[in-house]
Amino acid sequence: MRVAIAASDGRITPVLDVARRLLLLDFEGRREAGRREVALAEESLARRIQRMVELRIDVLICGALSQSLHAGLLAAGIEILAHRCGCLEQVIAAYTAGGLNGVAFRMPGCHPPHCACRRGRRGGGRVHGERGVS
Amino acid sequence: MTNWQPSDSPASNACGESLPADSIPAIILDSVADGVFTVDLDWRITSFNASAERITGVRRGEALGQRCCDVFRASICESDCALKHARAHDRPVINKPVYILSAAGERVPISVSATDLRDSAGRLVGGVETFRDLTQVEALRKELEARYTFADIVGRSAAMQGLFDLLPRVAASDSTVLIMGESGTGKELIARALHDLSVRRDRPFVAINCAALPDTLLESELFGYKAGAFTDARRDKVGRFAAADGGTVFLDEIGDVSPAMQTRLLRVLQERRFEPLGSVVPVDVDVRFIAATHRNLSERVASAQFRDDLYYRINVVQIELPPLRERREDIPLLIDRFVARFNRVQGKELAGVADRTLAVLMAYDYPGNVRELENIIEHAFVLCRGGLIQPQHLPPALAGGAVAQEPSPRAGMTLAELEGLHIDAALRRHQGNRTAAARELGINPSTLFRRLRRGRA
Repeated sequence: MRVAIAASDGRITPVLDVARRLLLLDFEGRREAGRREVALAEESLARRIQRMVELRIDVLICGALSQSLHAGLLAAGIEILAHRCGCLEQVIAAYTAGGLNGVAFRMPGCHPPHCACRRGRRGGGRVHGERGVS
Repeated sequence: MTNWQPSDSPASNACGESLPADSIPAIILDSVADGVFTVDLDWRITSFNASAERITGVRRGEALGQRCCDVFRASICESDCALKHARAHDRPVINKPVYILSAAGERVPISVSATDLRDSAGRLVGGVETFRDLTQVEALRKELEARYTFADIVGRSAAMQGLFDLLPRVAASDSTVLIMGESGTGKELIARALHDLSVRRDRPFVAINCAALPDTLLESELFGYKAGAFTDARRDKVGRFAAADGGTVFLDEIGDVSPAMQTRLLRVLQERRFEPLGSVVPVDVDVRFIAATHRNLSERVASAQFRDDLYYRINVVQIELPPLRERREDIPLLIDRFVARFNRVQGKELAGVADRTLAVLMAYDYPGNVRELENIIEHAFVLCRGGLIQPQHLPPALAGGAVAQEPSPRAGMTLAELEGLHIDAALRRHQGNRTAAARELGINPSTLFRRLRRGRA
């Protein structure tokens, strides 16, 4: 499974729409099998979505994102854990342990169940980050 | 730095009792319409006023102590943080147009200003950022744009507004139209608008540039031909007139066609009938003709370069498009239109043009008219990576010396003439805004008005 995190300077990037880098993490079961960083060019949202599809991302962990980008990524079949913040390594550890839904990793103003962070490709129903890598 | 908590403070006192001194700045900040927050040296929010809560959708209690980028969520937070920029360059950032993402994921257009925050001893203690919600301004801009836009043609000048008023009536008439105007003024746009507004809108719109083709080719393009009509005619070809049946034919640059072709066109215009090359069977067509030229046709008629009977046949309704230099007030609207279009096409998010750039663009004469302005903006899009288009992003000829094209003083001018020249240049630089021009000239607006009146008397 491939997890992407929009991050810069060791933290989650606040706005995915203009994020310049993605960290790609490949998991084999619960074990991290590899990671690499890719650059995102300044481009349209449609190209940005296409790029993420090409990168074969299964789960995307990010900060805030616009409604149109959110809808496009969902339509492309990418599971989104939105409105997350914090230090990159702590986020990865929390995600792996299934604890990314903690208040410490939620952006201010994010209030499940009203927040868009709750929706995923399976149509919602559970808060992302609860399960983590399986 | 004071860590104030406006909503929780006992500052509001209906009984008129005196207020605690430290609550007064909080009350003042909560009463302003702009969002204001301050940060400490670790970029953590130390104060957050009521308007900041309203614009971002984040409550003060949640924002305090958090990193500002996680609360503010602006398009520049990662790449060009206004606070970091102000600190690095030791000067404030003022009214930078960006957008933030609200808690609901909506893009909120704002203008942001940022500066360092220092204590009474001058030591850096953090930063302050103020931001203004431009949603209403943006909505108003769109409303104005709608008012000044007609079938993809933009203009708020009296000439263009008059044209917008005229177009629906001309479109409904089905009369032949002659569009006059310099190259790049948008003659084909007008022709398309007339077609789109007419009852023929569901039928073809066929445009042909008469000046682009030699006579023989133009003839076969317009009339079509039968197989065997000439050496390479292996099969029948339907001409543009037949292809446009039921629709509109736009004959661009009709002033450049040869006398022989003028004769052939005259017959089609008169009878709505023609024979394809190599055929003796006439073909009837039901088309509306719209012709256009950048030449002065009446002069060409007078000099026998253009048939007078064809001229009278096409000159049923005449529309004259003014050159861009005669409708400078439309330049900002056109710039906005082109910036929006190139942003969409190129996937960029340029905010527009800087004031100095606009002044250069307003002062230029545009021999290539709207098309040239469009090319200039496209050129700027190549060089400008983000934010506002600056003068250095314009083509070299403009970036270096467009303003120099303004009328310059010459020997023998009177003092009044020099003054008029100076006033005209200032008005041009400020798009006719007298207050701004007066400010630049260092005189009172009423003085400027008086001098303008005197100059025109």
